[in-house]
Amino acid sequence: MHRNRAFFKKTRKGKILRVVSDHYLRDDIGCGSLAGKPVSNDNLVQLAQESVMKRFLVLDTNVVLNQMDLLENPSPALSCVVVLQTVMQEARHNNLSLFRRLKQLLKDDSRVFVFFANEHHCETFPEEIKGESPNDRNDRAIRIATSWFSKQFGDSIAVVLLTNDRANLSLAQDAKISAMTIHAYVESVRGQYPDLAELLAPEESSAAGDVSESNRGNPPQRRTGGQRVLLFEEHKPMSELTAGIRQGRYFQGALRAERSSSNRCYVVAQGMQDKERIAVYIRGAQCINRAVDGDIVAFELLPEAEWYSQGDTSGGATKEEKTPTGGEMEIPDNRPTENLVPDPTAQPAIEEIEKTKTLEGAGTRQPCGRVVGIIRRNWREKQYCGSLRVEGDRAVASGKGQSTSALFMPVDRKIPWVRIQTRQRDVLSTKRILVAMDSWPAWCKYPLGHYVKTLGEKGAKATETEVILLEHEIPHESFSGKVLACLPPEDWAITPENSEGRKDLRHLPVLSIDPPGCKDIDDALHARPLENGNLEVGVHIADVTHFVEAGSALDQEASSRSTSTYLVERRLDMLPGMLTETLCSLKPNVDRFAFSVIWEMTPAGVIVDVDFCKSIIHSVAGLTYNEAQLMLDDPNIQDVKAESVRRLNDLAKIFRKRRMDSGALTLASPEVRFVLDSESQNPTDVQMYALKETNALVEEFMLLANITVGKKILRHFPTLSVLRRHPSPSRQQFDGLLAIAQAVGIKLDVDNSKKLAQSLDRATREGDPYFNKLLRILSTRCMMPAQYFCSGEQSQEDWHHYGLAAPIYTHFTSPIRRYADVCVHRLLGAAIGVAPLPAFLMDKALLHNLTENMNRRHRSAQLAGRASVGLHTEMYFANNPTEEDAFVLSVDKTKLSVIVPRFGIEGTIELDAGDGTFDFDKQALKLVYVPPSSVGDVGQTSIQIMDKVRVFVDVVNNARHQGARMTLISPVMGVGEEVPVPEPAIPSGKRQRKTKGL
Amino acid sequence: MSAAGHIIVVPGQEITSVQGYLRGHGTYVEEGTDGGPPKLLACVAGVVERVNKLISVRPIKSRYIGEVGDLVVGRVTEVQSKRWSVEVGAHRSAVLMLSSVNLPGGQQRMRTYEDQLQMRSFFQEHDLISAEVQQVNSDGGIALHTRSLKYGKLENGQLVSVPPVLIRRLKQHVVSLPDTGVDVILGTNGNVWISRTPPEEWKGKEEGDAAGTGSVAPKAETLTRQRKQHAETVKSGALVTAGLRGYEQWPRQGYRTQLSLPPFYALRSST
Amino acid sequence: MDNRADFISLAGLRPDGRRGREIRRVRSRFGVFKGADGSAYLEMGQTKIIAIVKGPREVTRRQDRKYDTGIVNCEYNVAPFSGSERKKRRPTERKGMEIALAVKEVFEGAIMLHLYPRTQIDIYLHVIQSDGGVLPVGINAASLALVDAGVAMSDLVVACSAGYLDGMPVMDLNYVEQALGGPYLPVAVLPEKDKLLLAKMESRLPLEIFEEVLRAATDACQQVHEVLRAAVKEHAGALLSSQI
Repeated sequence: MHRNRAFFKKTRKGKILRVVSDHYLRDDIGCGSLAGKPVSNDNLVQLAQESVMKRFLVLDTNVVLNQMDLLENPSPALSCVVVLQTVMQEARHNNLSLFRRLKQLLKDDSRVFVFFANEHHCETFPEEIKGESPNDRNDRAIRIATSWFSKQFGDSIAVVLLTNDRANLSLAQDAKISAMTIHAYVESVRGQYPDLAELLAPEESSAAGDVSESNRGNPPQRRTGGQRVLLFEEHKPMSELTAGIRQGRYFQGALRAERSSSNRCYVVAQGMQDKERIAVYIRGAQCINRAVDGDIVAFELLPEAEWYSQGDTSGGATKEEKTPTGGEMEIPDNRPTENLVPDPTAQPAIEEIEKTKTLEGAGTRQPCGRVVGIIRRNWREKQYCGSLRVEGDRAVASGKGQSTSALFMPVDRKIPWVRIQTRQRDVLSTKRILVAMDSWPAWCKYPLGHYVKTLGEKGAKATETEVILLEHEIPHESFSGKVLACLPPEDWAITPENSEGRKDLRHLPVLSIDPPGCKDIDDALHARPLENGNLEVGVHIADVTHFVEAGSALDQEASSRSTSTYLVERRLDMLPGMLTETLCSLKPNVDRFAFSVIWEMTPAGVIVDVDFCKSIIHSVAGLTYNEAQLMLDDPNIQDVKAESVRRLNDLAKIFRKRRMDSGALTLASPEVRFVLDSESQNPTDVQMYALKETNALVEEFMLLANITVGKKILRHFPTLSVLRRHPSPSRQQFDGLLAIAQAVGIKLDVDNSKKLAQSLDRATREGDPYFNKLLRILSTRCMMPAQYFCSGEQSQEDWHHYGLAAPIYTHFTSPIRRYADVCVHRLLGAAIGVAPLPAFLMDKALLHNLTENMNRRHRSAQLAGRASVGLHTEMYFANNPTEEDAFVLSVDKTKLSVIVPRFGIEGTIELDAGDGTFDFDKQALKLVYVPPSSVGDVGQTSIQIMDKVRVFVDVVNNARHQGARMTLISPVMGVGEEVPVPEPAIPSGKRQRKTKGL
Repeated sequence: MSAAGHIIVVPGQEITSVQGYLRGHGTYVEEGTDGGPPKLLACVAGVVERVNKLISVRPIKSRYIGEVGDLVVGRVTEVQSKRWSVEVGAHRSAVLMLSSVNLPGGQQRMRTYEDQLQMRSFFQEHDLISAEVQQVNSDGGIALHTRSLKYGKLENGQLVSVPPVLIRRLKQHVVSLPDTGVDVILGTNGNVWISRTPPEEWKGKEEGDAAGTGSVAPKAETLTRQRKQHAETVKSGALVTAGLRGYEQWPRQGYRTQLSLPPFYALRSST
Repeated sequence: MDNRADFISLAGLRPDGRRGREIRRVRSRFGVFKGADGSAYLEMGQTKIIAIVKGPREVTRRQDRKYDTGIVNCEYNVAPFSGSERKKRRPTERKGMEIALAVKEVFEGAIMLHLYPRTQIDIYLHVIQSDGGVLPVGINAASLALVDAGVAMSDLVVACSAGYLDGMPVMDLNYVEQALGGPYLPVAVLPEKDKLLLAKMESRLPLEIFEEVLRAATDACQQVHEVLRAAVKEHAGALLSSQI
């Protein structure tokens, strides 16, 4: 049977289209399909009989959209569910990620979720009724399908429609269809399955929202006359928003919260006047108007009189609304794009945006605005980690099992607190939990959400690590069966058949140099003299693409993960262990497949020729950096390995000098290494990384290989190569650094990377070995992040890698832990004719998404690694509070931030002048404390940027601070906090190990 | 298959694979597959006609296909050297050679150069003529002649076009209908010419009219009367067929394809 | 890529309710245009095309005339109201000319042109409503119009399209499926002879999948052939019975 579907559709640009399409009705659908296979009436009856509840539930769209967490719970109360095609279509239209989750449920064999194509079944298709609204028509379709199912099953199995839509519910009941709200249903099974109620998202009307903060502790105020007091302005309807945007009254952009508070936000919008990007600040709860970081909002500009001037850092946040900043250990990163919400590309820093464009006549005032409506919420996709707010010692009396409301504080500071209903408030108060946000009505101070699951005890290492992984969206589940099925069998070995086409390089003295205990060896080197006096140098990389077939489940999983994540105590692999540690890893004394780059070069390092091939190698040694360094230091060691290492080192030094001369930068970061207790895996000591000559050796050859391969693939695939670029920082990004340098009397030239490198080399201070390193650390923070890109998307000038001073660069040498390298291996393989390029690497759109994903995952992995370091640092200091040297990174009127080089951590110290005063010298970046009773200069103390100070580090958990805390010991600046008397620095066995070696 | 037992085929359909048949219009032979006997296939959609050993397929619709001796009514489209191109509704234009028309006065001589220059005095572009098919050559081209008094230029009448398949070949194609006083020329190519029956007194003058060009009666009067009759014919074919009814009764059937008038059925001569 | 993966629903149905190996509803009418030798109107799903055939008739341009064979011309026209959005197309638009050329070449291979020397056969295609597959539907409509005009052809030319969605071959793609960017293969065949007259594709496919899709397309053509042949027979029967 045939019907016509005719409707009007609006495109993104606002055009109205009339769409006419076929709609066929069938009689061969049966009763739907289960996990892809069709089912008959009898099948379903049988399944229902076998279930506990002996009934089938039909879901309405609102239940699907609002209660997904509940539905995903594999409780027997929710077995035997029918999902109608109408509902799927509505869900898809509304929210793609919920739709995908629903689809996942339908594919899951362990649940009985039946998909029924009611729109195409001749008996359940709702014939058109003129003048019916689409919503009503869909509701009617759902009711028709439900009653059809009822008739099919007869009396044996009940069919219940679950809907929270009042109209649909009453119409269903009128039509003698058994129907109830999901809340009623959960309530009805509470005896058997009490946990389900926890997962329910609240119905909006029954939310026990706070009316105003002053009522905290009191029962929510009775509404007068049934009217709710609106705390926020209502959002404008979508039609008005689009009209306003088109007319230029409103603007659109993604809201971003500033790092430490959800009350200070900004939106980067397309220029109101010209096409430049302008940052508009939105501060204060009223202006933010219930928008959350990441939402796409429509906003309007406030009148100029209300704009904030630059430097007014505390604007907008009233005392009540300030969430306690708590001095939680800040992850040492002032990098411009530090955002937990993934950014598509490197966003310019706030400071940069400030200077990008100011409206004429605005002077130093920053444009400010107010949110008038939300175009798309970001929270649908996310679940937030955090814990409940425990209000001091005041335990709110709640009867056992009774549902009370609690405030949930996400670990991400950019997200506001969420109000949830829970019955297990006491139990949860010490735990880290996962919460999803549902809505934020205008009469609620906080957004409403619901509990999803518990992660573990707050403060426990495993829990906190899980929190880090979730917040950074790092995939950490074990590899699925499908992925593992793609691996070669356990007894896989190299045979002549499977090594066809490879060059046999097993006679070469290949060796690898890695950190001690390294199991995933990506790379190996060799160098040997040739007859003509030149040297043959080879870099051999694990041949991962031989084992990972393009497009397989394994490849897709690796592509999604995109990188291995290095936490302090463990490593989350991109590929299964069988590959990373056994088959691909270039372990010593075994034959292994490799992808080799072999140069012929003169002893002076001039490259004569280069060859790329797939090969078999046999590594003769897996050295550590230490062992290799010993070979360099001790001329008495004479064997093939030592000779190779020395040759490589000589060449590496030449290459390094060449790079430095052309402007490569040597930057620094305060990374440290933890010594973990072997049993508890808790940190017992922290040491700084010391780089040796051999580190530089390996680095140089990796860089050379990457550059060489980059050039090669670019030649063959000019528009499809996956490369890595590092955009040059703009002048503005250096402003902070230059101000600091000037304050301490150093002149830095930032015209180009070479001048910067040279002026950094010259910048030293007498008697202060850390000074130069500190300056380099600060320079690192001015840099833009490097990113992957597809060569067809950027013009050639933008391919440059600033930090390495290389015109072309890519990642080739670590395919075990980076997916970009896997792609480059495939490109190189196609370039040398070994294997054709898989189709998806030729699709520009897919490449774009791929590189974006790689950048995002790389960033997340970095941040997660640092967060893990932060976590371990905190754990260390909880057990070993100490007094340490620190250097001042920034100075302000009331606070300073310092870095402790020994631990590589940073912190902010608030200063309190007490009865004295502070004088802040902006030019010299110097803060002077004038004690109350001083005269002239007597008794004054001062701190200038980059000064060395003494601080005391410990961990506290009280109302004001949560986490690690630093207190200034000397020089004394004002009134300090009470600190426990620092222990005398008696070296205990473990604590004061000399920082030699790694 | 139609109810009357005729076999309807579509292009590509096999009619028979038995040898020993001759193939006619609308069919073609294809080599048998795998060494089987060659097959006879239809190349148009239509009904199979079998005359002894000749199998042909009459298509449901076709343009006029000329046969020697057909009377056709056509329109002159071009005047070329020593010939006229006449559009008769066949695949191609028919030709009327200068040597195939009667010279004024009935002379029988070689056509001279002057005759060539005078062609337009016989027939010009857009003139309607009746003629007979003299010859049909192998590629389907039709040659006409007007070597008789009954052929020639047609004036003061009304042309009606019908699909040629409706006009059957008869002995007499020029018919006079006394009731309504019209003469009908049934062109085999589907063009039907209706004109006023010339009154008795004009008969003699006709002898003088060689190529049938030019009308003899005072035009004004003729036209007025003719016009009335033309109007009647145009308005309702029924009137004419009513006239025809005098000869024979035959049913008119509905006809689904393009036609502006109810179908004319080929007249059986009164003889 | 996720968005595209909903085109075969969990019940194995396409968005319009068909299964992969089902063609759309076909409706036809003959003789819709009285001023021409043959004409036909064809609907396949929501794609509606009128084909008009004039000829064989005298060649209008002397220089095109071929002494031993006829020539085929094709003109392709899309009505501005035929799509979701009103859009006037220039007559020399590339896509239209490609389709016209494809139709011309298809019929040059099917019509027995040696029977009509020195003549031309004009095919005019007018797209009234377009919902994917205008080339195959145009070819089918032209085929019907030629039959209506009584032009001799070695076989009824039948065309249909096929593609590959969600890992399975699908027949007779409509506009939405065509616009997904996946493989789209319209083919034209001589069904009784199992000969391919046209196969057109602009995407990349591994060879095995291409073979599957081609087979699906030719099977689809057979399905269309059954419908069209029945329609032609019915029309012929009706015409003939009115002539007898």
